[in-house]
Amino acid sequence: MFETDYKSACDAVKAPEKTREKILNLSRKKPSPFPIGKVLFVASLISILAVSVSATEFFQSWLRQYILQGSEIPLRQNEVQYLDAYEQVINQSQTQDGYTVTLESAVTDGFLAYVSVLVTAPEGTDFTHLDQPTFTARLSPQDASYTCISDSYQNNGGFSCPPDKDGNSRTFHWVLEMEAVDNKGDSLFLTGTQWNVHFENLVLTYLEASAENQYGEFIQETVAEGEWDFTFALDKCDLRSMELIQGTPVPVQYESGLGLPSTESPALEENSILSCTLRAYSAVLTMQKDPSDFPACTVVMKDGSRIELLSHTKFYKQLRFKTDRPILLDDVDYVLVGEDTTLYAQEISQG
Amino acid sequence: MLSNDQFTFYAERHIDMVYRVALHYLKSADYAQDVTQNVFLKLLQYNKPFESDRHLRNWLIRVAINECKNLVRKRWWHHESYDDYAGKLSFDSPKHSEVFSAVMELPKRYRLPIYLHYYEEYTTQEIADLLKIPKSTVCTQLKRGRDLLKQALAEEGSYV
Repeated sequence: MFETDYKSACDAVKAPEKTREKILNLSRKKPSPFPIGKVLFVASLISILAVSVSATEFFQSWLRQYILQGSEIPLRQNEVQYLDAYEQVINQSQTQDGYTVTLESAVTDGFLAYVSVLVTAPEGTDFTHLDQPTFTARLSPQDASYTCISDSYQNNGGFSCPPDKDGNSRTFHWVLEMEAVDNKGDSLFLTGTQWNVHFENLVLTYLEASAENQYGEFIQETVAEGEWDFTFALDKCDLRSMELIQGTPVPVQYESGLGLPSTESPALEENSILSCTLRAYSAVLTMQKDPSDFPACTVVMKDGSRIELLSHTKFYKQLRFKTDRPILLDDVDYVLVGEDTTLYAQEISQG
Repeated sequence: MLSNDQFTFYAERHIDMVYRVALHYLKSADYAQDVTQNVFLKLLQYNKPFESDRHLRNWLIRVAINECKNLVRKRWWHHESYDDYAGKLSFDSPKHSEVFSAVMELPKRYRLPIYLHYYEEYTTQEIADLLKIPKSTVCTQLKRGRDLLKQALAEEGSYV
């Protein structure tokens, strides 16, 4: 059985002896501010490189890494060229209570937008032991009524900049992600639209011991009070789309039953796809019946490479997906829904 | 702060877990070792008490994941092949080796939930809390991971 074999396999995977010794020796000597000489040396090099690279290149690279966070395949040349054309550098900064918030860049396909944000804490701050820094944050259009389908901001749990000379890490990145439509259901993130970004109070969340809860309690501590407000206009949007279903609904069958233990069998869901719309960062399947689950959905490109669409939100009878890398619509061959439903590429609409 | 004895006790108990988390995330034995050392250095410097072993384990996993993310973001990061390291592991049976390799061949987003669920026996909600992603996403990742594993292991002739 898989579980038994996998557990036995993992039992055989242990930290090497030299790693074990180094760690056990840590307690026997005073810890250095930054223990691994190799990483410190390279981090210093990166520091120098980061200063010499232009702001545009640095910001662009971080959002691209975020978009790729689920993928181990580096950006291909055509994807880099695509992002060069469609990634908008914003580069606005404000400082409140010693904390500088910088809006770096944004990408959007008209329905889904990612905005990357850098936060820099005051000199001498060390977030090394941080758990979960959060803001109250909001992205909203200046002059439009809209329906927000989903929004989130994500701290990617780390520090994108190398430690400074004192070995402290005092910056972190977020990505604001928003999927929304105007009140007619059309795209909201249009060229020329003005957007407000509002941040309020930086809160640290960390896990602390608790007598009531063996897993600990999340404690929140406000480290910076203030409001940071920005306005920017979108001038780079990829509003193109591709509708893969022309006319007749396409029947589809797929396994459903998310979260089932592996000992249970999933149910077979039968439905029909009324439309499948692909965009640069998102896709929408409109189903005939209210679906209970997401099918697997993969975009297959003409060169054979694949982009797996990530289940995102269910919105009435729509199953909305997002991608972990931009979909270059010109290079799409087909979309595979479930095990064997193939939807071939059609003409691209300019939006 | 932990005393030396406490640190040694917890380190011996959890070094392998942290190493496995890092290995599943990074797919590189060398980088996993670096991350493991960093995590325990942070444990040594952490000055809040842990109520239970479970609390400490959660903390270690979270810090390990953060360290892995930090590493991946560095410009000099490059993916390494697991195959070089796989040859150095000694499993009790070829089937165990196949299964472990199949998991390591999965895309990153599936490897860690699979490890946390099937080996560390975390629930989907606990994994969602640890990885800071929605529970439904964890469910999807486990399901897709299982589907890919079924396919890969069936092709190898196992679990048909």
